[in-house]
Amino acid sequence: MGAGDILFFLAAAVSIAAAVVAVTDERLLHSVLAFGVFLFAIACAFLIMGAEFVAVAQIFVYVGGVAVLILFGVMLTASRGAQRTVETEHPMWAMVCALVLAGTLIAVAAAYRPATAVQSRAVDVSLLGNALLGPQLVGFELIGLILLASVIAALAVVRREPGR
Amino acid sequence: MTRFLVLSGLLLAIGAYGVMTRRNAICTLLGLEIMLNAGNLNLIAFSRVSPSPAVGQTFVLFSIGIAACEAAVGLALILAMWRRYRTVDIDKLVSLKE
Amino acid sequence: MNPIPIAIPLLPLAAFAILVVFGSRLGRAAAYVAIGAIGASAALSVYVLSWTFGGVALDQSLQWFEIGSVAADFGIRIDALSGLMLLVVTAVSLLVHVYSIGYMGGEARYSVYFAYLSLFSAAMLMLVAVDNFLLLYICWELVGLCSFLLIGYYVDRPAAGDAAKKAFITTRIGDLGLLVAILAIYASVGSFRYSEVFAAAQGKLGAPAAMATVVGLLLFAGAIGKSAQIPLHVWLPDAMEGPTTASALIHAATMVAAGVYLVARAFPIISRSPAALETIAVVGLASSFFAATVALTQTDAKRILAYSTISQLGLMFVGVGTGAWVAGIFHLTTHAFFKALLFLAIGSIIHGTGEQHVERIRGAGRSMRITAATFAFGALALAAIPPFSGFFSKEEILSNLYSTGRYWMFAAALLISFLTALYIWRLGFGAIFAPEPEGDGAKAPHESPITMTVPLVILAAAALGVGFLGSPFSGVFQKFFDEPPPHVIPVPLTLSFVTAVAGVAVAWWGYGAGRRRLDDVLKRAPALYDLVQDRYRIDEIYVNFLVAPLVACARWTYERFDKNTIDGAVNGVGVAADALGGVLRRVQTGRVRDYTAWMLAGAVGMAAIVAVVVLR
Repeated sequence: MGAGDILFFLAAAVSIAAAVVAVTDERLLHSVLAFGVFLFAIACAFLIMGAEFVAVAQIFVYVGGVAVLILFGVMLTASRGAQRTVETEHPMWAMVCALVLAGTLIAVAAAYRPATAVQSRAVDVSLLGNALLGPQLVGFELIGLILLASVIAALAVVRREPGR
Repeated sequence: MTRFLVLSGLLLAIGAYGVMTRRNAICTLLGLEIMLNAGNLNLIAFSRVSPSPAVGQTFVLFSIGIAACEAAVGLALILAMWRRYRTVDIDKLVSLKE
Repeated sequence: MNPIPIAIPLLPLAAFAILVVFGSRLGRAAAYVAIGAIGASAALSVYVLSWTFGGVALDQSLQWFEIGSVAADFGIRIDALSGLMLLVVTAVSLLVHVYSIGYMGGEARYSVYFAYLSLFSAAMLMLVAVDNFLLLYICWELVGLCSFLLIGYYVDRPAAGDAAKKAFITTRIGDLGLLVAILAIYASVGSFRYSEVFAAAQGKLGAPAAMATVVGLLLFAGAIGKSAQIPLHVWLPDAMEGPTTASALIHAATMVAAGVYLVARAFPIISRSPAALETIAVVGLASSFFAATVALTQTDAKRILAYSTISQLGLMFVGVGTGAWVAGIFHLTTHAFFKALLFLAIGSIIHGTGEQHVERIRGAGRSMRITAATFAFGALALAAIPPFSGFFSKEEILSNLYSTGRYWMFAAALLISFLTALYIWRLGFGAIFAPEPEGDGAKAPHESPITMTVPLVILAAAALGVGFLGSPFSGVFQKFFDEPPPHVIPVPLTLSFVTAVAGVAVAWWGYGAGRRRLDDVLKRAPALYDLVQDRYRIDEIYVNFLVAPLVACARWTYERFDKNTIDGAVNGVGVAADALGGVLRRVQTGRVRDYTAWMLAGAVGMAAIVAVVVLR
């Protein structure tokens, strides 16, 4: 077992555990913090897979942006004791669904044989840069537009009616 | 390679369970984000066996960007719901009930 | 194809179309559209009639459609019979149109009335002009439809609607016979065209006389319905619910004459079967007698005329049934004019007094001079007093009866003549020319406007003059048909003259100058009088034995079958859908999580299936 494998299993375990905590913990804040840990673990996984830039982007955007945003949301919607109870009904059905889903995906994964060999080398960032400003230029520009649109949308949704 | 796919599959299932199960709207959003991340993981895994790995990774970058947008809009909606109903319990949103 | 004969029915048809679309906007002008069309048709008819003088016929045909091996053609046949009918129909129709300006002037649905009149004229003209049985049947039905529309014209009167239905249903029964006859003809001959059928009448159709008899009787069945002979006569008196002008045109002069036209047209076939001819004559005679007796007892002026029409039509059938179909057509022609005249004169009185009961129109003639005078002309023609037209035409029929040795029928016809003169002058002396009732100071009726009196005068002239065309003095009428002018046979001539005059005289004795003697005499046998006045209770018989069981059947079907079974099934579907909806409604919980769960479950399920398929 190489160092890479150990690192991977570590990252995998942390991410799974964090995800489970995130979806099952009754206390909201614990949930959100577990989510943050999960994001870090995923970033590690990216690193292991050789996507360095993506890993860093993950940390910047997700951890620094999304997680913080969600924390803001938690703070703004705070009310006494209401978040305490987040229990569910019929967890069995959800469990069954999730298990079926997992089973399917794992089965497919197990049967998958890649056509070409796996590259173990990390991807050079310059390749990424060239792709973004080359063949993927349209997507790149569109992302900008989408970001703008979503900012406007969010503003529009939370706007208070004038005169209230 | 397989291990990454297995990991992403598991995470997807966990995320799905979270979406289906949680009552607090913010927690639902968390489950959704978990699913998105699982998807990203899957994409990176496949980009390693693809002839142009950069494409897969740019796709993931886009995905992260969009996830951020979606989180923003989602939280805006949750805020709006908070203002209107004074709760974020999605079980209270039943005006579409027949 | 020569356009002129086609134009004759097409002009009123075009008028109908125009009036249907633009009628409400035209208002009073609607009448002029219709009059223009029918007037033009009348002029063309005169021209067309002149073609047939030398016996020249026009027989053209276009192929219309073909279904399988059956071909239907659209064709026109102009010969003496159809040319004459065209002229009679257009002339009477034109006069009725003009008269209607005054008579129907106050009606709200003025343009609708003229539209119906135009449609009827078109259909009737087509009926007499076509050259094959299939088109004849179509026009036959169309004419029946127009009768229905016109009888039921006063939509706010339920009696009118009932009468219209009765007319249509009763004639429909006869039409069934006609349809079977036409089908039998086609089956036997292989064509609908008159020329081919009549040629075959010498051979295939005539050889087994049974075929000719069957066809002849079935054709006559159609005529019985349309011309209101026994037993299908019951609709005609009730048809008086319609406007008097419609009655004048349809139920006196033209549509009811279609039956006579039919048997005259089909004479080549019918004449091959003595049995059929005899039946026609007997039925005609019976109807004629029956109707004449009833007419004597009626108190509604229009009903008297209706029964009179039945009676005179019966005489026409007698003429045809005894071989003198030209005489029958001659009587049809004169009758068209003087019966229309009588109806329009009564219409004028109704217009002036607002009444049509014999008691209540007493003395109307004193103030409505022109109407009264024209009525007298018509009544004299009907009573067959020379030199009026009715005398000559009826005389031919009677003379034929006598000269062919049918003495019993001749005697019966004489009796009918007597009764005819009697009942019409009962109306004349007893009501129109009676002295005015004293006292109550009710306003005297004023004479009708000129649009009504001019047609009356024209018809009166025709009632006097047309007879000469077929009389022994001139014989012009017969020449059209390539027949010799009628002989003067002294015995029937004097006998019919005497009976006619006697009828008028008895009427004068019984009803003149305000007397009521004859009514008293007749009422000495109250049971018989009531029976006759009730039209021999035939309507009641039909209602009890035919209509009531059918209605009961229909009601049973409705209650049991339709309501329970069919409605149950249909409603059941609705209830089931409702129940299903109620169950499915539970899915709409309104809860986000449930919806999410369903969506994910669906996606997961699909993914699993795909995976299973892929991994095999």
